[in-house]
Amino acid sequence: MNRRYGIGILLVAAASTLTFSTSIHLFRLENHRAEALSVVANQRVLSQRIAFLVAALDEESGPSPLSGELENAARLMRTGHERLTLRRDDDEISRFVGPIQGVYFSGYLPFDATVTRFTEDARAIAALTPGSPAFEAAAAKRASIVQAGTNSVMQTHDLMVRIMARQAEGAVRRGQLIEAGLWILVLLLLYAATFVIWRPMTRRIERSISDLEHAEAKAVRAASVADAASAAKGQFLEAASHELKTPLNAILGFADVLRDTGGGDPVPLEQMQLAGEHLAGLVDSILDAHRAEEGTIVLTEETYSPKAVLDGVARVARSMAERKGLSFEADLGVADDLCAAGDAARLRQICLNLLDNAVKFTDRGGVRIEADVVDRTAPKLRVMVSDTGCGIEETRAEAVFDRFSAAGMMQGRQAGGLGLGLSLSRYLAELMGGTVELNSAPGEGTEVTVRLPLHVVEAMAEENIAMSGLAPRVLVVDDNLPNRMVAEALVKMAGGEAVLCADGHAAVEAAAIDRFDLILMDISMPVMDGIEATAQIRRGGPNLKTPILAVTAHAAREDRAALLARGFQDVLLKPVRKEIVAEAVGRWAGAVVGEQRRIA
Amino acid sequence: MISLLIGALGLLLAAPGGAAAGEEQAPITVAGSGTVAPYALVAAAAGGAAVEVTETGTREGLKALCAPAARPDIAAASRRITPEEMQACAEAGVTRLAEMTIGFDGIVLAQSEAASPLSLSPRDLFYALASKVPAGPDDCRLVPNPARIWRDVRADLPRRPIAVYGPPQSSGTRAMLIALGIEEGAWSVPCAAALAEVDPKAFGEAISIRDDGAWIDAGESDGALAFSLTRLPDAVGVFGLVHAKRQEGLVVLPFGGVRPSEETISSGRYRLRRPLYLYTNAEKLEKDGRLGAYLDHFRPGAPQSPGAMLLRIGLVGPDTHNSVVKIDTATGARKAATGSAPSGD
Repeated sequence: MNRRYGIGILLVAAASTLTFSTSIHLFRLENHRAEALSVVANQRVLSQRIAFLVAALDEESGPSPLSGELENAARLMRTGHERLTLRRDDDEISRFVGPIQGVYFSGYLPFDATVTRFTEDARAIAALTPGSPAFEAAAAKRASIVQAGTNSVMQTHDLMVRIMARQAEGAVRRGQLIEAGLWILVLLLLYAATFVIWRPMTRRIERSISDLEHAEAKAVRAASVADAASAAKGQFLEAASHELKTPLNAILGFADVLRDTGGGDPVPLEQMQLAGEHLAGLVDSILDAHRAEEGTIVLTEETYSPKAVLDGVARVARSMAERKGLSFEADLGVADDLCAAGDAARLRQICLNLLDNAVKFTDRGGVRIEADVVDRTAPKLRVMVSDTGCGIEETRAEAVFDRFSAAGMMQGRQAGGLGLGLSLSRYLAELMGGTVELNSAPGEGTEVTVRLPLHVVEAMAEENIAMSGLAPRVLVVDDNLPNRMVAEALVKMAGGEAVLCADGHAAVEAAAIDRFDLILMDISMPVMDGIEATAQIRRGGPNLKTPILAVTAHAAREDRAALLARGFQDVLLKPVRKEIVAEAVGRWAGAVVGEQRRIA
Repeated sequence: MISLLIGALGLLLAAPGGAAAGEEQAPITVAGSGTVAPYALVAAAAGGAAVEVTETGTREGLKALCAPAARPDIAAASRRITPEEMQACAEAGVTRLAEMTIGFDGIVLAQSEAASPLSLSPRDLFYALASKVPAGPDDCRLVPNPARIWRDVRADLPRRPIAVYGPPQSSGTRAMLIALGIEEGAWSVPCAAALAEVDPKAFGEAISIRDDGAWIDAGESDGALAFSLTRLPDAVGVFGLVHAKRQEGLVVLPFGGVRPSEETISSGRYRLRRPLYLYTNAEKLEKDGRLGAYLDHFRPGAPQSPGAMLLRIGLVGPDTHNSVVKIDTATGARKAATGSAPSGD
């Protein structure tokens, strides 16, 4: 295509050059035409002048300057005649004088001889002295000069002028035709170039642009499809986690109840609880992994006890390790009363993930977890999980943190895991402003160290139940029967009295009749959801100022903030545990909205 | 081929430097009509006479014949000598002139082969070339000739500008063209004819040739004019048939529906024909045998004779035997040399 373009340009340039140089050439050719014409015209003038001078000499009677002028005129005419009859070589006017040679040389008495005789007679007269006998004797000659010069010689030269004028017109017309022809040629060339070069080029470009646009549209569509898929996946995962957590809630809740009421064997019960917690952790991890991909994880901020979280995690891991026949050690050098502000659930997730992996990749030996607080000035929580497992090659070490790397996937698949590797842990740790380090060698086990900034806060004050003496009345709203039963049991254990409603409608009716100390409102319910029910309760009635806690499976901060904005005082995450319910009842029951007792 | 040879010979004979130094006798000088000049040349060449021919026009030739300064031996004329010219000769001391009719020549209208065809009548010539014409078909007022293109003269003629190149004032051919062509045409127009009766002078002015550029005086060199026509396709030229036959690339126009040829000129059907004359001083003729011998060359004779040559190049033989007529310049009386009655004009 470039070559064609180049050829096209070259052709147009060549045509232009041809036109231009033809013009120049034609103009140059015409240079001497005017000169030729003027020589002929001059002969006319000279013949008349000679006639005039000869006639004038007739009046003279003695040497006269007119003789000299006559001689001049005759000489000039002779020279002109020689030029016009091509007797001079290499004369530039020769080209234009060619057509009139016939005038000089045609017929029985060629005009050439007439002119020659005319000029010689004139010179002869010029040589004579006026008034002399010789002069007088030449009267006939003089008369014939005057006669010829005035009329015939002039008129015949006039024929030549007319012929040359016509030649000039012809030349102009020819030039115009040539120019027109060249112009048409250039137009044709341009036309041809358009079809052979410009049009295909333009079409190519148009096609490229069109292809680009299509590709772009395709990409946009693909992106939107991907987005939709991702959104769909997100929705699915959220729905799935919600669905999964609902029965889990029942399992864990009833396990709690059983333990408290002393029914059932405590050991298996505990194992069941731990497995359930493990499961809950995994469900959260799945959802968080998706959120990490989307970049929509938001850390929550709450006051919690790091030790409690670590203890909980250690319990789960111990049970996992013992099931696999591995030893388990926990060295948790964190004070029981240390309180921090941060995302407890995510911390739990990180530790569980590490322990999960450690147990997964160890077939013999054991797993150990160490934790302490380092660096007094900028406190950091250090958690180290080590195992005596198969280890990871140095070159693959980095890839392990990559969710979709081959190393991560392979390890995950081989060991029967989700293939998440440690990517989520690293993501969450870095989100918290911390670091994750990996030390490992094949066959020598693995050591993963997490360092997280610790925002230490003052200890949480133990909350006492309101000293009214009466058991707080708690309205529990949940569309799921097992959940309702669990909640009722947990409220009872916390020292409260539970009233149950199965949907928002019933809740609003109940709230309109009776005043409660606390309302636990499930969010996702059919007919009327928790948000709508709360809104209605808050419009008026005895429970206008009753604390309402949202109970939901979703853990996102914006969900929490949104819920708080809708009139809820706090958000409880499913699966609700005994401690959580107890704490909620202790903190909120009997409180009046607007006078929230805030914990420092 | 022959004409080329003759032309070359003519060139030689017409070479400049009139006076022949070292020659036994001065050549016979012939001056005057350009129409007659070729015949004079060819007659001399074919007959082996030394002759110097100059084209000065009939008027000048006749004037020079009787002028005080050196006179040509023979004046060539394409028209008859006028009484005024005879008077001038008488006053100059030339009492008797010898007039020889050498034959007829057709005045032809010629143009380039490439030009659009024209076929003209005397009326057309009048309307094309007269200086004054009637204003309209019913209007007899004379106005300057308004015709610019041939179509103005007649509706079926081409749209070519009228450009007629013909002999100048000094030419006999011009006078004959007016007399035989334009005047004939004028007579066919009732208004003009009536004017001729009523006011001959005005009539004469009207039929004189226009000077507004449609007619161009083309000099005495008929050969030059004939060639020029081949380079000027719009132009029409007027000269003797002898010149038209000589130049290639020309066509001759029919006049009055008749094409000029030996037959039509001889019979007179072709109207534009006139006799050609040679005039000489009668005494000189009687004294100089050379002159007489030269004049004999003009007489028609055997196929290879000079006279026959003349016929071949365009001369049309007269219906009467070429005879020399003696004219008394004082009285204008004509007397045949052989004593028989002079031919009519």
